[in-house]
Amino acid sequence: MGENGKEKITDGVDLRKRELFKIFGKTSVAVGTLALIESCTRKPQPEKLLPYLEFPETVIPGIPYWFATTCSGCPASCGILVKVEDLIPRKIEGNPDNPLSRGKTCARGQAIIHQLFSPDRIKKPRLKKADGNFEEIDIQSAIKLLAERLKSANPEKVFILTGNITGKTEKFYLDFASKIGIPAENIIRWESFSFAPLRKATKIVFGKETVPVFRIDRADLLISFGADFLDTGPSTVLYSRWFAKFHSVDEENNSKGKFIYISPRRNLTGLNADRWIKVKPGGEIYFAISLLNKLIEKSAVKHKDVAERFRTYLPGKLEELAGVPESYVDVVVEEIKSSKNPLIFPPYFGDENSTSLAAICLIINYLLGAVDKIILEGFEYTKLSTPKDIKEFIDKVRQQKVEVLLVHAYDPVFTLPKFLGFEEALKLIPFVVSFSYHEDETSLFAHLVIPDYHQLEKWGDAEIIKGLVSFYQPVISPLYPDTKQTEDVLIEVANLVKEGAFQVPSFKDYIRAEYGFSDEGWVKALEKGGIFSVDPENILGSVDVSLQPVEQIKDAIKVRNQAKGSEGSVVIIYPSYHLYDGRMANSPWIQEFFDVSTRLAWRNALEVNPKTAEKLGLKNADIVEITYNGKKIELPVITYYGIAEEVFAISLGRGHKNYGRFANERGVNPLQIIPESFDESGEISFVYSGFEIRKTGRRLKRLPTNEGVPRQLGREVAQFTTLSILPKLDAKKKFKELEDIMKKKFPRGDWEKYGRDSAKPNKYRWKMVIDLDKCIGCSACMIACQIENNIPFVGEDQVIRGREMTWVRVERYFFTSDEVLHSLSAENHKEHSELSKDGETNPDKVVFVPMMCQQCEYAPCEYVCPVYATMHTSDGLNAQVYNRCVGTRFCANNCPYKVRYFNWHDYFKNVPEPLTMVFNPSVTVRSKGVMEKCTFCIQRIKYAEHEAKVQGRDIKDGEVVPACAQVCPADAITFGNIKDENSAVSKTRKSKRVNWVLKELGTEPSITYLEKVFVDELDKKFKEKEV
Amino acid sequence: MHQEVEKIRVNIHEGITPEGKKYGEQFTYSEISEEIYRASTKPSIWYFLGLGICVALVLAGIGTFAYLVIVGMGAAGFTPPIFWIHFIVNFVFWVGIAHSGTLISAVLHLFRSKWRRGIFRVAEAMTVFAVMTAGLFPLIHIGRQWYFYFLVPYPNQRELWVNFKSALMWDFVAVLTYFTVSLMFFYVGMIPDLATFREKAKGIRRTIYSILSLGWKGTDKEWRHYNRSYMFFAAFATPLVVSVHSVVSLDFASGLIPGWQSTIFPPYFVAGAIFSGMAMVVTIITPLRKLMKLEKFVTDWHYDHMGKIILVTGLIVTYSYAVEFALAIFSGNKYEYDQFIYRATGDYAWAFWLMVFCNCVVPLFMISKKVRTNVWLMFVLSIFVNIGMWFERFNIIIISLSHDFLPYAFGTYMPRWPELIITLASFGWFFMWFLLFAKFFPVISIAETKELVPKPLRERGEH
Repeated sequence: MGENGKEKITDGVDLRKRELFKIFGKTSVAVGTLALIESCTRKPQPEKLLPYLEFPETVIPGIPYWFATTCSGCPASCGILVKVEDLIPRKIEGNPDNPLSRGKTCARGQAIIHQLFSPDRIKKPRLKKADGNFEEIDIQSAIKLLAERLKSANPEKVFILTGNITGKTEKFYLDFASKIGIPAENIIRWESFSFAPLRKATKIVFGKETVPVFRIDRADLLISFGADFLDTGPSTVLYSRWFAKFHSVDEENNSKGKFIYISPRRNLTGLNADRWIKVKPGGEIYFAISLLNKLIEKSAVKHKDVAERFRTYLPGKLEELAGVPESYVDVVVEEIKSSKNPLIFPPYFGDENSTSLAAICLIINYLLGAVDKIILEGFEYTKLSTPKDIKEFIDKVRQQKVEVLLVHAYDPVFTLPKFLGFEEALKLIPFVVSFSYHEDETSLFAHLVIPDYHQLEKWGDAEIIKGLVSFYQPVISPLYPDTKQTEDVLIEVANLVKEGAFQVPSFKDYIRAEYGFSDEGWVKALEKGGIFSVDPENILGSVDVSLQPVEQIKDAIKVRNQAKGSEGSVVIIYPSYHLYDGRMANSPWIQEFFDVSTRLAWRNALEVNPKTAEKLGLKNADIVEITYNGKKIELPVITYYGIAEEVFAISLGRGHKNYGRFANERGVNPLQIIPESFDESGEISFVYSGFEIRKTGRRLKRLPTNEGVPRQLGREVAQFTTLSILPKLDAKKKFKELEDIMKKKFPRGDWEKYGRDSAKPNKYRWKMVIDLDKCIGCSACMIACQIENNIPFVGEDQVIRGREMTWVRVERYFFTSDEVLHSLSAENHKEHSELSKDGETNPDKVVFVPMMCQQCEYAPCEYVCPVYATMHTSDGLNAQVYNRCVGTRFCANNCPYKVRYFNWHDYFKNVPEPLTMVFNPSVTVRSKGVMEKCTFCIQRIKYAEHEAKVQGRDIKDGEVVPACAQVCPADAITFGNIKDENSAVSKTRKSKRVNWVLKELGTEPSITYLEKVFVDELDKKFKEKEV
Repeated sequence: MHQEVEKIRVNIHEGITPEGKKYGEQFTYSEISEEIYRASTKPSIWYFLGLGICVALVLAGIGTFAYLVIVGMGAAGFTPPIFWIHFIVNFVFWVGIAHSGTLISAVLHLFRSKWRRGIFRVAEAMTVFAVMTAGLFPLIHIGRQWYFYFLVPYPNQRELWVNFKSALMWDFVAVLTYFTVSLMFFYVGMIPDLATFREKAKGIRRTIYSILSLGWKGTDKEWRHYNRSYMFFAAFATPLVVSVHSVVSLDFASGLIPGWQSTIFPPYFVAGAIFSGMAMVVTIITPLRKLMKLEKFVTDWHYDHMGKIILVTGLIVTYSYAVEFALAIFSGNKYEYDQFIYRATGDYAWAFWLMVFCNCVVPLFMISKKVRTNVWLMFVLSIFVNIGMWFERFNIIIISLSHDFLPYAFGTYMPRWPELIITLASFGWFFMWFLLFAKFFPVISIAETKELVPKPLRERGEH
């Protein structure tokens, strides 16, 4: 292929699928992990590339291989399996062997594959010229350049800025530093969310700095002080799984874990609370103190002697300090007293008092004897720097104590608050090297950019909990020959600086040698995905953990009176679930992910409570200017029930300036205007007062949201029941009710026979059950479905027109507690009366409803199609035949569930090369003018059918798992064959909470929803106290 | 007393001109032929201007359609859950317009109404062109226009058949039948007049008229056959007046959407169609008689009758609206109830109240005979009715879709220019055909008007 081809590859933009095949072509990839590993580690030699006309014999089109590696969507390092089909990674699923992920991922984990194929990756090293422009150089000269620079520099003045490094990778960096004489403390580890307040608090209370693992699955009452463990906690997937376990109803014992959330704002975690205690910003700590005092007063604690000494003075009335009546604390105390396993979840970060708040929470846990649920050998985030540490580093820069800075962390220029002045500091450093794999803001300030591999092209390890090692291994040969894994670059550099510094040729060998693997052991470990000698599910916290001396703790807990809201407006900034710290923003699918709270895609907005909005005359999509000290940003307004009155909130992770075409200028980064404010631990505050919010008079035409009306309007969509009604429900009666609807529709009562099996008997009939009580609304199913089924992103202008193509969308309905209490108190709990109009009340009960094609047995879409493009199959699917569709769109109109999506344009043409690589080869890419919808992942059903046929057997239960059910970290979705009496889906359908959405239409959906169970007793208690 | 009553009866049935003559008495045979033939020659500058505008609109429409095909239907303002917009609104609107033609020519012919003679040719032409306009919309509307033939039931190598369970197929059949019958009716009725034109025309026009008039000589035998066949077509077309719009209404009534699923739709649509069709006749004929100086053929008498039909059908339509609301409110169906409350108070309340004003209030003015016989006032009122009836379809289609079952999926429609251009282009297309027709064909039936002239061998005024 010669010069020409080489140019094309390095050109990048022009990279065609063909070229990439050619790259793979020369790497003799064979079955088995080892073979692939070997091929991947070989450096591509483009001049020897030959056109790849046929795959190697061992690569069979349509037969995927799965490789275990580690996710890089956040520092939690979940184990993942990557499906490699036709030599290209196509889909990510959780590694079932990994105790953190157990086969599941979150939404971010699904999307890292988009980053691998991002069109805006840095494809060649760059060197900044004297005039400030970059010039592309080849990798070897870049390495030489760096080595020379390091040789001449004073090693004391060389700093390395990394992300969270654990396991042997951490050792490698320390080795590297020591080998060329860099002091170990010059390695700064920066992650936006370092959980510093909690770490500091554990240090204060238990004398050990750690991010503990909270065994929420063992609790029966969970009280979270604004800890968003389901959004951006240390392991979203683990906590989602445990939360579902803790919070889902036990029908036999009629019990369910209760979850109380105390915060001025609800993120995904808060939306899942049974009761949201809406405190004023900064009021959490007073609530916690009050709770502590009351617990001691009512002697609800175990260590009474110690407890007495923790009594703290509350500086004023709780009503004024926290904005909630004191009686609420009484209810919480009562609840704690009556529960067996209460657990208080301290915040990861928050306002300026969050360290103290976390410490008080830990003390309460200790006093309640809940320490058995707190594993202090927790997540390895301990050595992370805080913004305050970065500030010290910047001071060093100003004092010219920094000569060389190697940046191998996710875009610190973007993630660090502007007030720290990191950007200016970078300009002062004589030599900055960026190892970013992707265009980012930091690399603009670098003098040398040596592009790293993407995580999916890399070797490495992560040990996020001691004893739980997960390996990184490449799943594809590197896309760009002039990129190199940073650790390999460092090895070469170290060898150049000091001959023989490293004995191993590559980082892969380093890891392997460090773990001391034999050939066989190494392959086995890679196949498994790591060494899992520890499973957090099997360990408990130590009951006799010792407390630090009481006086010492008391001294360390400082409550700063923040006097929030005295002047200006209070603004909360919060991390976004899907963007994390912003690193996921380069995936267009993640950009089009509907935020778990605002339900916006492609941009962020200023969240306002509808009441406050009305008071201030703000409407959705009005653009406001938010000013602090002369610095301003502009954002549209969005009203949101999940935020307290008089408070505003903005999400983090948006407003990139240089993070590729999909991320740039999408939304606003509030870190640009926040003032300096540190918590005890050195973490920045996430709550600020004194902002000026002014209407600009301009407004957006419409916001890019998929939410119509967030209230149910008395319809039976989000089905729910309560704990007190649950025992009265009868599964058989419930099912008969559903049957009667169908029988009424078919007067002869032969509804079950009609249409089914009449044409062609089939031994399978596919059904799905979605447990609304388990669903946490994280929408991982949505993005998993998009990747599995080649659903294109459509862009902001199309989302504004409501043309998003999410085959699964997670609908979110709000209810007031009155609605829940009143509507269900009657015998007939069908009447969900809407007691008040939108905006007049603040509904605080939430039901998430994952809405996808219901595969109705009597589908309204089928009979209206003039060309039979949609029809029923003998195994119960409502099939969509793309080739037959002419696009009358009658089906979409007639679908009561509104789950049919139309290709208004050739959306797949928006997907730039090489991002098209992720498309699943087993699924058609749809062109403009056809209708599409959820197929129950028919390609997976057919795959299993063929497998079964070849082996001469029936499909086993659990063999077919649609992408949504596969990914669901809460395990809310069950799928299977209803004709098999013993299948999981048959069993779950026998629940007494069975229901259909819009059942009175008589469509007989194949998806059965299990009703959400509200804890009405909790609401009643709070209501009594209110009066 | 008896005479007074008799006079009124005569006034109503015969039409009395200002000179106190019965309609038709003032004409002579040759005058009718001459005047009507004259109307089809020597176009004025206004005619060319009008035709120019129409052609320009059609070209703009074709361009927009090409744009839609190339970039996809997304170029138009579809905003899910509103999957049907102006294209279907226009389809139903134009099919509705097509209605009065058959009514006037077939039903009124069977009832021996004399007043239809001045206007039925215009109405029939309108029918044919309106169906031609309506028929374009399903083709414009579908997502893959290049596969429109998938919708046609014919034996094919794809081994696929169409789904006759779908109301869209019924529609296809109903509209095609209606078009065929209307066209035949229109043409057959015109044969004697074409022969008259043949006699008057010269050159190439004469040849064309000769071919079109199928060698009509005006013999007794021909007249006998002609009258029989005309009667037969009238009888055949009469049920179609009811059927075609009933079937169109089933597009909606057979759906599940609240605001669509309603058994009142067929009669309600038929009444609405006649209402809008008659209004369109008024809208067209008023400028036409002015431009072509045909005032003596289309008189107050005709307007009076058209006004009555508009009034009656307008009242039926109003009644249907009331029944729809009553059903929604008293049926206990949550979705229907919400839907109708939403129509009257929601995002599109303006469209709803505009419709109510145009369709329920405006026709009430026609209770007064003074209004009915005031030509230009009738013209203005008829335009209101046309707007109202367009918005009726807008209400049924767009409002119902934006507020159906799942609150989370509610949405509101955001229009964009392509559908507006194509809507305008459809008017251009329709009037283009109409203007061409007016210049080449007899716009008023010569033969039937002559029937009203007292027989020359008798004394005038005697029967």
